[in-house]
This record gives sequence, C-alpha cells and structure tokens, in this order.
Amino acid sequence: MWRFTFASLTKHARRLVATTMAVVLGVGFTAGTLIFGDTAQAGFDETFARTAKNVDVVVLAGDHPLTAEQLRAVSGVGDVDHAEGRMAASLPMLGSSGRPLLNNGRSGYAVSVAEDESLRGFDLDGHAPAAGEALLDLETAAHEHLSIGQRIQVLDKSGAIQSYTISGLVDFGVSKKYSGLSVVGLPQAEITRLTGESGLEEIVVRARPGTDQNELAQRVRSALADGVTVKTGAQRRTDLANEATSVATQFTFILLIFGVISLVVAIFVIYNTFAILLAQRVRETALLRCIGATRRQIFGATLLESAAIGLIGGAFGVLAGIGISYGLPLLLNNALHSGVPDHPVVVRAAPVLIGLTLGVVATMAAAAIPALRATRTRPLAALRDVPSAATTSRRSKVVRAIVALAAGAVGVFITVRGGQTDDSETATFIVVGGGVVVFLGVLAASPLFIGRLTALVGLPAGRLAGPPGRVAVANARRNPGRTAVTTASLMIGVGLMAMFSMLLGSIKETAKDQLSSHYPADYMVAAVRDGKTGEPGRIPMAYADQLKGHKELATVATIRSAKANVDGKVLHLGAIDHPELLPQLPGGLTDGAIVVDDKQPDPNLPSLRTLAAADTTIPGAGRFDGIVTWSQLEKLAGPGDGSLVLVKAASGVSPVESREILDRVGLAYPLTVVNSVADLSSGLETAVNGLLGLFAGLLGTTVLISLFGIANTLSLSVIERTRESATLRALGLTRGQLRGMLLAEALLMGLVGALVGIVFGLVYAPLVLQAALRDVVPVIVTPWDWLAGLVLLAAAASCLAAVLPARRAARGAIVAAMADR
Amino acid sequence: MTLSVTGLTKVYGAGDTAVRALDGVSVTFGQGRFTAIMGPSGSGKSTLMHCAAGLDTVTGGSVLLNDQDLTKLSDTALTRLRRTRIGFVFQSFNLLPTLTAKQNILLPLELAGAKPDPRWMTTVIDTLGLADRLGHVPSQLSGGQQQRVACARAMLPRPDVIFADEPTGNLDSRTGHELLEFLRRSVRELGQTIVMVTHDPHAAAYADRVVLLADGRIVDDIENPTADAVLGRLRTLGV
Ligand SMILES: Nc1ncnc2c1ncn2[C@@H]1O[C@H](COP(=O)(O)OP(=O)(O)OP(=O)(O)O)[C@@H](O)[C@H]1O
Ligand SMILES: [Mg+2]
Repeated sequence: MWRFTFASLTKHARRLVATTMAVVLGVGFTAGTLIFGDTAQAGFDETFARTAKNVDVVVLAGDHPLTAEQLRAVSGVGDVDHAEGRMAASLPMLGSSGRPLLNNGRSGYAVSVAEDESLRGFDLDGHAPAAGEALLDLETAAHEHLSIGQRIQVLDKSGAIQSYTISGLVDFGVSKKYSGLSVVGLPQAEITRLTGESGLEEIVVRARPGTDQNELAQRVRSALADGVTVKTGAQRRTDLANEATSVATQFTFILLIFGVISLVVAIFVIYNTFAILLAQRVRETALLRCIGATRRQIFGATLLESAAIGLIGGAFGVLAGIGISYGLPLLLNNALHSGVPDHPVVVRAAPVLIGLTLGVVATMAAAAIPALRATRTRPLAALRDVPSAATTSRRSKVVRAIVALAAGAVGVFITVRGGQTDDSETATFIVVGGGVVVFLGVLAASPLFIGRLTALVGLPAGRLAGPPGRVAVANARRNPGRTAVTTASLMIGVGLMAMFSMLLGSIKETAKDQLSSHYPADYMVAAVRDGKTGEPGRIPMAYADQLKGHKELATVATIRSAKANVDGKVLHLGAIDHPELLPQLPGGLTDGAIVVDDKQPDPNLPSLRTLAAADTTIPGAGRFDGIVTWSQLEKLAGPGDGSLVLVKAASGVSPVESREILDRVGLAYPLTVVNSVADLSSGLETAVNGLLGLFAGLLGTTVLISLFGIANTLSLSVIERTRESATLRALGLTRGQLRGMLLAEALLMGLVGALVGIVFGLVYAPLVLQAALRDVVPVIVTPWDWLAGLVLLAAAASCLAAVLPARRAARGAIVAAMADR
Repeated sequence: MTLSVTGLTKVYGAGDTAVRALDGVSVTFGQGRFTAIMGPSGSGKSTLMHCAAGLDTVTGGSVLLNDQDLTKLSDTALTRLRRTRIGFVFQSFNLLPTLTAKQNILLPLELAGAKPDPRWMTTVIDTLGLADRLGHVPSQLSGGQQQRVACARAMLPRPDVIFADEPTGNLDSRTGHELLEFLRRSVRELGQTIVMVTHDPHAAAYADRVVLLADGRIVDDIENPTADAVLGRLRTLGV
C-alpha cells in the first residue's frame, strides 16, 4: 500500500497543489502568530528589563516618594558600590506649534539622567546632558522631526518657557509608563529647579563584585524604614518580564483566534479535495478492492496520503509563518500603534513542532470522513460507470435538516438568553457563542439550500449568457455538497468581515451620535492633565473672561470640579456657570439646589434641595456625584479655578472663524487644549478605520484560503468534466465561451458564499451591538459601501481563482479530450 | 451541399514515434447520401471523420464544405460553423448530464442563437419516439434512448452533414438496428447527408455506399453494399 500511496501522490501531485496551499496558509498564519508571539515577547522582555540592567538591588517607593536621606542611607550600607536615585516628574514639553505635546490630554515627563553610566535605565545615543542640554525620547523626536543638536522647549512650574539643546536620544521602547508621552532627560538638580519636586521614584544599587544580591537586599531593607519595597535586581527583572508577558499575550491571543479561523477554513478545503478526489477515484479504489485490498488498507492508504500532504503543507506553513511573523508587527503597529518592539525574529522549537503537528492532524482529520466513505466502495463499482452527479438519499437529507434545525434552534436560544443577560460583557460573549452555533447550523443546512440559491443568483447568467450560462448554473448546482463546502469557507471569511465592518461602523456612528447629542458645545477647552498623576490642571478665570469678550462666541461656560463635604459626606461635585447649556438641566439650576447622579443611591442631603436625578456626566469632565451652581460650589469648597471651558459659537459664525479666536486667545495659556466636536469625530473615524483595516487584513488570509478552495474545486471539476467540455466544444461552444462558463461557475460560488456570509453578518452584528452597548441606544448603520465592496471583491477574486482551471479546460484539443475516460 | 476531402494527410507526433494516420485521402460525400466508413482498427477512420468535421487540425490537404476550406478557418470560425452546419453522434452518446433531453437537443441551436423550426422539431422528435422523454435527464434514459436524443440533437439544426462514429457500438443489436433504420430514413425521406464510421458489416449495409480504409489510405469504394459483400472485401484486407 505504501507504494500505491506514493504513486497516487505523485500522479495527482498537481491536483493537490491547491490543497497543500490551503494547509500552508492555515498553518502559516498560526505558526506565524506563535513565532511573532515569541519574538514580541523577547522584544518586550528586552525593553522592559532594560531599566533593571546592571542593578543588584532596587528600592521602590511606596505611597510617598523616596528622599535624599534614604538615598544616603542606602549608599552607606556595606558592599554597596554605588546607589543612584531615579526621578520622574511631570514636565510639559512644547511642540513645534508652541503648544504642549499631549497624549490623551496628558503632558509629558522629565526623568533624571544618572551620573553613573552603567546604572542608567536606558541606552543613550549621544552624550549625557551638560548645562543647557537635555535628552529626548526617540518616539517624540521622530514625531516632532527633532535630532541631536536641535532645541526643545519645556514649561517650568511657573509656566515660563525654558530651552535646551538635545544632547542625546533615548529609546524607552514600549514602557507602559511613558507610552506616547514626551520624555525629557535632565540632571536631577535641573528637574528639581524646573518642577520644584525632589522625591525619588526608585533607588538602584550596584553592589561590590562578589556580593550576594539577597543578602545585600536584606541589609538595605533593614537600613530603611517601612513603606518601601526592596527587591534584588534578578527579582525586579522577572517582575518586569512578567509585565511584558501580559502585554505580548494580549496580541497573540487575538491573533491566534484568527489563526484558528483560517485553519478551520483550510480544513474545509482539504475535506473537499479529498471528497472530490476519492469520488473521482471510485473505479480505482474498487479495482483495488477487486484485487484484494481490504477496507483497512484503503483507509490507511488515504490517511497516509493526507498525512504526507499535511507534513509537506505544515513544513512550508512554518516557513510561511516565519515570513508572516515579520509582517505582523508592521500590521499591528500601523493599525493599533501597539508599539511592538523591533526584535530579530525568534524561532523556537515549539511553534515549528506545533505548526507541523497542526498541518498533519488537521489534514488527516479533514481527510478521515472521505477516507471512511471510500472504504465503503464495493468492488463491483469498478465495473459500473461512475455517476457524474452525486445523488443524496432522502434519508440523509432529512437527517441533515434535523441536525441543522437543532443547531439553529440551540443557537437562537443561546442568542436570546444572551440578549436578556444584564452584564454587557457576559451578554456579548453569549450572543457571539449563539452566533457560532447558528452559523454551524447554517453550514450544516447549506447543501440543502445552496442549489436553489445558486439557481436564483444565477438567473441573470442564464438570461444574459444563454446556454453557456445555464450550463454553468447547472454545473454549480450539480454537487450541492461540494458547492456547499466550497462556499462555506468563503462564507466564514466574508461573514466575519461583514460583521466587523457593521459592528465598527455602528460603534462609530453611535459614538458620533453621542457626541453630537451630548456635546452641548462646539468646543471643549480642557486644562492639560498632569503627565504623572493624570489629574486635570486649572484654567485661569481670565481665560474665560477673555473669550467672553468676543461676540462671535455665543456661550462660554466654565466648569469646575471639586471634592466638598456636604452634610458629613464627601462628594465629588461639578459646577457650571451656565447650567442651561447642559441638556440634562434644561430649566437651569438655582443656588441651594443639586442635581444628583441617577446611577447612585439618593445621597439624601438635608442642606441641599434635590432638583432631579439625572445623568451627571459633563462632557470632558466625567461623571459627578452631583451638579450645583458655581456660587454654591464656592460656598461648599471655597473659591477656585475651573478645569474645563465649553464654548458655543454664535449662529452664522464659521468654524474657521471661531477656531481662530480660540487659538489666538489660547496662545497666552499654553496648558490648555482646544478640542472641537468635529476633531473628536474625525479622530474616531481614523481609529475605527484603522481597526477595520486590521480585521480585514487578518481575515484576508481566511478569504485567500477559501479562494484556493474555489480554484481547487473548480480545477478538480474541470478534470472530471473533460469529456463534457469537449462535447460542448464539438457542438459549437467557443474556447472563450468555455472559459466564460467556468468563470461564471466560480463567480456563482463566490457570490453565493459572500451573500450568505453577509446576510449572517447583518443579522448578528446588531444583536452583538445591542448586547455590548447597554447604556446607550446604538445607532445601527449598514455599511453598504463596505458590503458592496466585499461582494465585488468576492466576485473578482473567485473569477481570479477560476482563471487557471478555465485556461486549462479550454486549452485541450477536442478529439483528445473526447477520448479521455 | 458537397463535402470533399482532397489529399488529406494527418501525422500524429514527430520523429521516430510519428504515426501517419491518414496518407493522402481524397473522397467526396454527396448530398443526401448515407456513407459508411469501414476498415481495420487503427486504419484512420476516426481520424478521417474528425478532420473532415473540423474537430481536428490536418497535416496536409484540404476539406471543402460548400467551397469553404475548413482547414483554413480559425478555431472560433470552425466552432461557429459546427453549431448549425455539422452534426455529431458519438459512440458514447456524450449528452450533457445536467441538461434534460429537450435542452440537450436544443443546445447547438441555442449556442448559435437560433430558434428551432417547430414543425421540424416535432417531426424529428416524433420520428425518434422521444416525445414523452423530453423532460428527463440522461441518467434517467436507456442507452438507446440516449443515442436517439443524440441523433435528434444532431438533426435539429438541419446540418449540411452528420458524422456518426460507431453510433451503435454501445447498443444491443435490436436497438442498434432501430437507430440505423432511423438514420436511413432521415437520408431517404428528409434528405440528410450522413457519414458513419462502423465496424459492423450489417450496419454498413444500411448505407448507400461504403468507403474502405486501410493504413490511412482508401482501398475500396462499394456502392449499394450488402453485408456479405462488405464482409468479403474486409476478409481480403485480412480482418
Ligand atoms: N492522438 C493520437 N496520437 C498519436 N497517434 C494517434 C492519435 N490518435 C490516433 N492515433 C493513431 O492514428 C492511427 C489511426 O487512428 P484512428 O483512431 O483514426 O483509428 P480507427 O480507424 O478509428 O480505429 P478504431 O477502429 O480502433 O477506432 C492509429 O494508428 C492510432 O494509433
Ligand atoms: Mg475509431
């Protein structure tokens, strides 16, 4: 049987190319994700652990920053070669526009540069800053197009601008602490001079050679008071690496889901190939049975064949995976700014073995059912002509319908239960689970309806293209099982794409809707938040007063937030000097009254009259325990500045005009940020489009695999129908018509798969959305442009898949093909 | 209508393995005549038929159908010509399994974008006794019925000539004779021109003329053949 397997493999090599490609892609994606995971892990490890390089013992601050005395105490411990205090303070840096560089409304950091080179927590390109010099982080430098020798400006605590020359660049990688924020490196004393702060974040210690880290840590611990954490350098590096793992596994987990999806699609393709091949080989198999091959031998030979393909596909898949692992960081960093560090690709044994195993196991599993079916071939079949159209018994149809209905019912039940679940996260999870089950039902049922659907979709083909069109439709219908499995793989990819596009599109529109209905103003001027603590800063009253002087601005409302003690309760209160601007306070607010949060139990305040319970969120400022008038808050918490200014332009004033006024007034107040509702919308748009691109990219592999499936089914069918094609040619079908016929058949399969997938996505996306967004009424949009694009893409791609088989079919000479048996 | 083949040569392969399947064959198939082509296996009967029908390219010589040289036509032009001017009946029926009998019968005309003449269609279908089988697909028909559908398919466009390669090869003798009877009637009564390849002297006896091939050359030409006469001639060729 070995020899037979080998012979049949080599004889059918060309027929197996597309299948092997499906295995390669499915395995490639998964192996690529695993390799990427290892690589990212190594990269994260490296960048995270960098801060603890050369460190033997580290002292971490507790609730309070570490002091200079503590540093001296550590330095005095025996066997301490050198101890260095590390400082990090908020320090806004100004960008080229003269405004502070912000990330999420937060300004940047200053970090101290250790005098001792080996104890610096970063690698330095350039030299340590001398007087009038500073270091800058690479990311900010790249973003602002700055290089060594150029000047940067920072704002000191009094708001004055200070300039430095860049003496070096520092790579902080993906450090969570600094991610996206500007980081300026300065000598410790200079930071204290700028910010007034002197507390230390951590103290790092280098021991004398030959000192035991644990022992030294113990001694350092006893030299310090409680309230600090002392760790050895090794411990610290492990901690940091663990932090890195959680970052890396997040990505890998999501990617692996897509890997599994593509593998499932590949299994469909493999299953179909073997089902078709073995159906074509019935005579061969029967002949083997005639001459004495046992069922077990037939089964074994088929499985052996599939194992060989799985091994070859798996091996190439692992190679492809290495290639994919180069591409994934680019995709992720572009779409998500995930900040996966650059690192040479790490190929460990595990992904290679997993890839090979997956290839073999998936292929063998996919081939098992067709192989089992092949063993049922009776020796007599060798003498019969092979029926060209598969016939399905009534009973198996009924069984199929029952299974599909049962799966559908269970899925619908789960979905409904999910919709009734209160917790939105659980609800989403359950609804998605229900969707998967319903989809399985649809897949199970698809051989029953795919034929009719194909006929329906193919109606125009018959009308427009005459007999070739009609034959194409008939051919696409003749093996419903085969067509169903072929289209199922496309259904999965296109369905998920449709669903994601609708989900993301709806989330975007919902958010925009929330913006426009909840944002009572055109602009929101916020105080820059502290880089280190994230606390909002203050906006001087003079700023709002200056804005009020412009008649182009109809309303300028200042919002202040403060903690106040009311009737013995500490409440986080918000105040606004134009209460009528807030949609939840249409009637305004009077002194002595309060609007309380409807999400919290009634605070029951005897000294304040509760006007209403409402949504106490003020855009840009968050949710409050209650909202009161400005003067009421001054009575409760004393006088103070606002932290947010809402501005509404007068009617008839163009956005350009009003924006110009805000920018001009803002020049004197660098620590304010102007956000327009329009900016927020467009920011949202970019973010959502980035995500859409990412999902499309990830699902692209799935769609690609299903296209190999279409090409595969088609070319196998073409081989099967050689004589028929020749007959058609003899009767007057031109070469072009024959090619067109096969293109039409592929087009039909592609369209049917895409349509079913899209319908499924359209049904489930709103359900998932309703489960996920419990607090708001989601605006559900159908992304017709995307869906139309998907249909066109599926159509174009399936035609592309048909090009080679069609050319092969049309190339053959009629007479030779007619003789082919 | 005249179909004449002049100096037809067909060589398969090249060099040492070259096979000269036809070696300067010249023959004319007259209008309204039923011609049988006979000869030993491998003598070039199928090759002659394929070349004369424009299904295969030739190495040398010409095929004139109504003064049009088929060997000079492009593949597309030949294909269009085959739709209505040439009909085929094959040994293994070659019906499209996905189409019903009626759709199969109409296929060549539809490919040509033409409508069948309804009276002619009724005549053909009735003569072949297919009226109650039109809605069936080939797998629901017997071999004889399938071959009759194939004949109807060949007849319906009223082609200049019908080529039949061993049309009775897969039929039992009774069904075979019925089919041959029908072919003869369509020549006698409807004026159809038919060229048929056969191995069976009894089948050849239905024809008006028998052309004998051996080693790619015409070795004999018998008018109004009888089975015995044909058998006698074949014997002299050592078959
Ligand atoms: N495609 C081909 N390639 C090479 N040689 C061929 C090919 N087709 C036919 N031949 C050769 O050409 C010669 C004539 O073949 P042809 O099929 O015309 O014979 P035939 O008279 O129809 O025989 P049969 O009665 O067995 O059908 C034979 O020697 C055959 O081997
Ligand atoms: Mg022959």
